[in-house]
Amino acid sequence: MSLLSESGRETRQKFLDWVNADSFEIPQEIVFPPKPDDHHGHDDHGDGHGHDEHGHDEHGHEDHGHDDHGHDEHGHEEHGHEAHGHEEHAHEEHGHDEHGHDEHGHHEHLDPPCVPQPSREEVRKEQIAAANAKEEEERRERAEKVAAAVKAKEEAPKEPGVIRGYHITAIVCGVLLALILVVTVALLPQFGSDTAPAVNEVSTRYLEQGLTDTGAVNAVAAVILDYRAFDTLGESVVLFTATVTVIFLLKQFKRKGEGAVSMDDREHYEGMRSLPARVVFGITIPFILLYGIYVVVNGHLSPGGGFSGGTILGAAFVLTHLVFGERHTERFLTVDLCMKVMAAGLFVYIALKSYHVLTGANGMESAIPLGTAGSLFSAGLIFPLNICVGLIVACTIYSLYHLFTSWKA
Amino acid sequence: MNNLFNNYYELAAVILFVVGLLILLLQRNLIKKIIGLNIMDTSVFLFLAAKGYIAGRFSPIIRDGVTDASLYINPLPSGLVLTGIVVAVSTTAFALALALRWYQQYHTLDVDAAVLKNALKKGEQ
Repeated sequence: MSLLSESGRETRQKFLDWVNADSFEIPQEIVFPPKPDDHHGHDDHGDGHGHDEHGHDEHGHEDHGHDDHGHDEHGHEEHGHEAHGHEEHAHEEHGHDEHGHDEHGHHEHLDPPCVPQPSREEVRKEQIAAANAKEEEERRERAEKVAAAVKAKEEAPKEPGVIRGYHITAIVCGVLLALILVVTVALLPQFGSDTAPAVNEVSTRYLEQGLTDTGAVNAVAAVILDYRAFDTLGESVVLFTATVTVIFLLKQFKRKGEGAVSMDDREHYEGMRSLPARVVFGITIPFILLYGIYVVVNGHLSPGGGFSGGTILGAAFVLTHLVFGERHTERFLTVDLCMKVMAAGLFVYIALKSYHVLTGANGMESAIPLGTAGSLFSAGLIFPLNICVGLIVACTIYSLYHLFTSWKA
Repeated sequence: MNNLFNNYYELAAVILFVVGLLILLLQRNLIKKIIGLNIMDTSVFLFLAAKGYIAGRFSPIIRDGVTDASLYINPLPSGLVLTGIVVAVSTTAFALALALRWYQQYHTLDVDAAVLKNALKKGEQ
């Protein structure tokens, strides 16, 4: 029994080919499915801007449509001007058309459901569409020329001096660095020695006083969530910021007047079709979630904690997405919800830690009882802080996965 | 020299670090560069974890309330590795997102080809 469906195996083979290829070009058909060509209907003003996206995916050299309209690109302004010229031209022809009926049948042929006398708008639209098609063709020709030039340059023998010089310098620097580091390793104290400078009064203090200071049996949890909790807050903020940045880089926002594909219009991943996989993972995913929760809430008692447990939870969500598809997962978990949970987790973390600092002057003593060492509800704030960190990490893992897999160029 | 082979964890970490750095420098593909960066990250984690180990001691989970520091390994490097892993995940996600946008712009992940395309495009205008 193979866990991969037929299409999954095909995708995997494509991925392997892609990884093994020397030139490392992503095949066009994987990444760029043809866009639905629905711009004409929206382009009522006929100023030519809406049509710039045509041919963008095929060439990539002419990315006027990709940039903000009319902001900084001279070429773009020229382009818009040109389109206006076509529009005026269309007006003139239309005037002719109204008097003499020589082109009448032609329009009727193109637009059967129209009234016999086509309206001004429709004639204009057709003229603009023709102009845009012509432009597109010109652009494609130019792009092909550029692509040919690039290919010729790529295939031509590289200037040997520059390339070889760079490679030799890099390798020499790497080998020198390796030698320096190896010599340093030889001078380091022996592996596992208890007299190494790293075993100093700081770690001794953490081990000897950690239990009475924080109530946590796990010394690592005491270090990262009590002695150095501010550091962990910084880490959580780093995760949150990375997710926000990836959202801004990958999410396609709908611009006004532009027919960009919004997040709701795109295809949804359907999940695995294989019944055994669905049954097996349907049974195991709840246990994975339970294990993740166990690792999170026992962070102060055993190895683990918010980071490792949160990763297990995030992996369970990713597995749900993989097996049961996007629509099923979005019933209970979306990227928006993830962001809300992460923001709430960070807020609770900051609130708890500021309470800790306010009540305990030096941050070590607080009014919260530490409880019996070794029981689940002990160690003061470490228990809720672990839960906050676990939620943040799980949401980060899932939302990063979702953003990367749902991205379309 | 004898110490070099006793410190084999650190030696492996150092070699991995240089391998990652050379991948970062020599590969022209952005994804492979990011992989090199991740190998460097991993080597640093290995080094830190190796520095925290003390032979013949337990993991830093206090057993039966015995808080004798000479029984447990150093807990501090483990905490630092956690920090490092989080930052590595964040930077990798950010770099991958940037690589996707790069691909959207230049239609290649090859750095040299993209620079060439950019130059040709500028020359055309």
